[in-house]
Amino acid sequence: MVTVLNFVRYAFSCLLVSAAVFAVVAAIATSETSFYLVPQAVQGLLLVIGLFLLGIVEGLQMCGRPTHAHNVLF
Amino acid sequence: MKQETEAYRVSHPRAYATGRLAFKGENIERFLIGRQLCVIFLVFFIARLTTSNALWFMRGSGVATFIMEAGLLGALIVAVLAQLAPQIVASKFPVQFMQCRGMNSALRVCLFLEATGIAHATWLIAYAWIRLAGWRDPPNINEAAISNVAEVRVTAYEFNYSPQPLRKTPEPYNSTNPYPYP
Repeated sequence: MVTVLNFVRYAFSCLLVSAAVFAVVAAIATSETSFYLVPQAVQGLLLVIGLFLLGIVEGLQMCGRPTHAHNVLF
Repeated sequence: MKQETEAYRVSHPRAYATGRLAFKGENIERFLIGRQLCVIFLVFFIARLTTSNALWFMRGSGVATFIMEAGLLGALIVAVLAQLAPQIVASKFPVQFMQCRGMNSALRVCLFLEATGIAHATWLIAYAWIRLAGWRDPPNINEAAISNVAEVRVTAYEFNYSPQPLRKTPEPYNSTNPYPYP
């Protein structure tokens, strides 16, 4: 029962994220965002770069977070 | 407990270099300030990039229009892909994460952002807060002991059982002082 519940939660989350990615890509493709004057390819590239940089900074911060007693670096 | 940087000095040299830079002086606090600035800038930027009017197939539904125009889908993407996933990975494998290329540069960018002084009011507010609250560091615990729990235990043991105060640097052995240790 727990396994089925977990599967449902994973599936729900993946569907939600996929729908969000689809909606954002569709919005960029139809130039509906605030950056509508910028070419769509540049918008997409900026989005990927922004997400990547944000991921790096968030992960770097977690390296120093004292949540796991055995692996805190700084 | 903090992991000793020497433990991964040879196996993960880039992580070691980043850790050394983070340890230097008040770089941890400076990194936290620069990092937060960086995160806020990026989140606002991505929010502008992902928020739009409702798409053609959503325009009939009030809920879908609200979700799209409020930027909730963009928030979901940011939270899942760019915040939570890297945090989980980094918390499980911090050394490997810091070994990736670009981590040292990211740390330097954060330190640079702090050095520009945009958020220096933070230091004033923090110092004023500490001063007003009257918080002080414990007098018997030195800086090295804070970073090493074992050393704190030894210090506490010596503090409790030593017959007289310990000398930090024992006097050198010579003929006039045959017993340099207390």
